[in-house]
Amino acid sequence: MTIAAAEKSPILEVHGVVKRLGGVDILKGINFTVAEGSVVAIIGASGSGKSTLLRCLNMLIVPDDGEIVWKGQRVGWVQKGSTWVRQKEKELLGYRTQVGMVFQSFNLFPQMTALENIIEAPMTVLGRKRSEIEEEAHALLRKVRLSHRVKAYPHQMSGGEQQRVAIARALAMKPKAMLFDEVTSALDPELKGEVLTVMRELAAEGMTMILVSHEMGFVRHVADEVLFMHQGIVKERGNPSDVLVNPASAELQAFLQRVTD
Amino acid sequence: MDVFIAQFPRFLDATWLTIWMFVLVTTVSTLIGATLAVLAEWAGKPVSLPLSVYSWVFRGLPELIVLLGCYLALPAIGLDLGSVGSAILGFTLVGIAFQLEIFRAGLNAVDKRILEATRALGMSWWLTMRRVVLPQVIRIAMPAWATFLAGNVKIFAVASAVAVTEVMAVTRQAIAVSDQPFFLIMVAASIYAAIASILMVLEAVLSRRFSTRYGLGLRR
Amino acid sequence: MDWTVVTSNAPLFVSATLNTVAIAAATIVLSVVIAFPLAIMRDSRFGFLRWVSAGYSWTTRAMPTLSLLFLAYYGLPQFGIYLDPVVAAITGLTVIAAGYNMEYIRVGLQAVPAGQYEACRALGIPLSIALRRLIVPQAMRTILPPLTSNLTLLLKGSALASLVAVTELSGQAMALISYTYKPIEILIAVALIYLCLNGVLVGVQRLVEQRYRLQD
Ligand SMILES: Nc1ncnc2c1ncn2[C@@H]1O[C@H](COP(=O)(O)OP(=O)(O)OP(=O)(O)O)[C@@H](O)[C@H]1O
Ligand SMILES: [Mg+2]
Repeated sequence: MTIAAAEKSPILEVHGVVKRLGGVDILKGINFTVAEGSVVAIIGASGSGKSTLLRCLNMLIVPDDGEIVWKGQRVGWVQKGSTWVRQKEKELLGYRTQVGMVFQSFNLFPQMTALENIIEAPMTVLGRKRSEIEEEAHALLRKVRLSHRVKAYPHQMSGGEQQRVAIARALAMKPKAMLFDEVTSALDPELKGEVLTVMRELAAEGMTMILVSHEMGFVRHVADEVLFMHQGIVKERGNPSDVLVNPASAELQAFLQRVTD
Repeated sequence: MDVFIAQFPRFLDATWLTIWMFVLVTTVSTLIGATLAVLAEWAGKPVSLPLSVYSWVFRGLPELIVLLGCYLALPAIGLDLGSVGSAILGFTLVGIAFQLEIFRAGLNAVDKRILEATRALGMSWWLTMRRVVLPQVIRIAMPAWATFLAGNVKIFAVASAVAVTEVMAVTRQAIAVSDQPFFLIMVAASIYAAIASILMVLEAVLSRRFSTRYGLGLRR
Repeated sequence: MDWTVVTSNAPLFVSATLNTVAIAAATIVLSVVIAFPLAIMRDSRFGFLRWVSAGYSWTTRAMPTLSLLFLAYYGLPQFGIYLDPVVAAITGLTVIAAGYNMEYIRVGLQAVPAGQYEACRALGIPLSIALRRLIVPQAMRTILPPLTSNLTLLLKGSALASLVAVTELSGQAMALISYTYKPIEILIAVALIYLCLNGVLVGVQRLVEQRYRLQD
């Protein structure tokens, strides 16, 4: 898979992304590319900028420098003559529908059932018919093994179930890539498995995925590439079986020591 | 503008009248309201129930109706307080109702386990109240008290309805001889707004002071 | 005491009560409609909008309600605008109530977790749709309880309409007193009507609070 993936042209390129928050450089020039259908895992200590990077990738926050290129086109900027002009929030929405995102805290709409959560965006953003999208939503719920929870409200579901609905909700927009930010961190150990299984299946289906995770076993088995972030830079990168087994830097050694404890 | 200049001394007098009525009413109703709250806590149902009815009635009635009651109905039973006297009585009756609730809420917020602790130490009820409970109540109630005051000054404009020559009444007389009613009413509103703003600053200072120093009601 | 002044004038009391209810109802509806955009402006990206909305909030909290009624009724004619007394009263009361309501709405909108806004953005849902379909419905549970408890204030405020020549309850009371000179009976009757209306509002408030507590 690694070789096949690497041969394809990159779907997403990140060039020199810098992000300053509260007067501090959180990201200090991040570079990497993601091939279509590959899985990139981002690891690193708390505060190293992983979430910030992921939020930059779909422009929830706008990088201060550098560029993000999606399918050969710069994201968030359009060229007008010889100058680059920032896109408005409205113009970014189209890009965001192509890049799904799942959060650590689920963020389901609490007043809606599982099904309603899933069909909301396809209906209001893509303007699709309810009957048509409901069918797809049922299929998605089957895929995340929640056919029996169609009418459940978020507060009636376990964290693992909520997170799987959140994944289904993102998939309902038919994204070309998915961003996962520590999606199992808020879950009890016995609930992590069911979410990771769904993610593993997605990867096997060829979904392009960028994920932040502390589940080293999962990362080793599923990721094509690992990026280790430290203080706003990518300190180490490579194949998980190399990087995780033979960490070169003292920082990664220390980090792995901590998470495997 | 000419009218305003001509009437300036009257506006000044009216402002002064508004301020001293407010200070008097606030002082009296705070003292009585707080006392009644403690009394209700001490005496239980027989006192607290009628007080609840009292406070519900006077918080629910429009201030105008209360003032009219003092100004028009009391003389009918032989108690004529005049316009300023009626207004002061009316606002005090309403003020007591609100202060009673503010201090009751403060009393309720005090951790009751403290009372057990003081009893175990052999402190009397009154000593406990004075040394332990009331200082806490004041800290807890202070922000709500300040909020009430900041929102309460402007209600004194209603006194104009019972012939008190406060700011709004003077304005009303002045607009009768002016071709700039909007301007004059804005002046009156600004005088009230200025007093209210001073109280709002006080409110902000008090609530910050009391919420940070005592870790109460911390807001994001 | 002579209660015939009340009984013989019952129809007047009834129509005055209806006026009071109508004024209060119109005020609550209009003020909420105005308060929503003001609340959203309060946290806008544009400094100017934030500034306008903060100024509005401060002004309405600092100015007497009566002064706004006077501005609408006695002040506007300076610019050739003559409002019907009822319209002037509703205008003044609405301006004030919107200032209070915008704060409740703002608190409600802020109480919706940031993750909800973020989820909407990540799904590509435009802000206008997100607010209407997803955020505001969630905010309502925080907004409604203070909004309903504020209805009492609004009812009390409606009495001020009598001072700009509207014959609602208080106005009717003053008129009747001035030509029957039976202040005690009339004021007691009016006070009871106000307290009944207030009781109804307290009931509404309880219902709202209960409904939202049950959902938690
Ligand atoms: N809005 C902000 N303003 C100022 N600093 C911020 C802001 N958001 C994040 N930070 C800081 O940026 C740093 C990186 O945050 P980020 O959330 O990206 O870390 P992370 O690697 O995802 O950590 P974790 O594993 O805890 O999720 C942190 O030190 C954080 O305090
Ligand atoms: Mg993070």
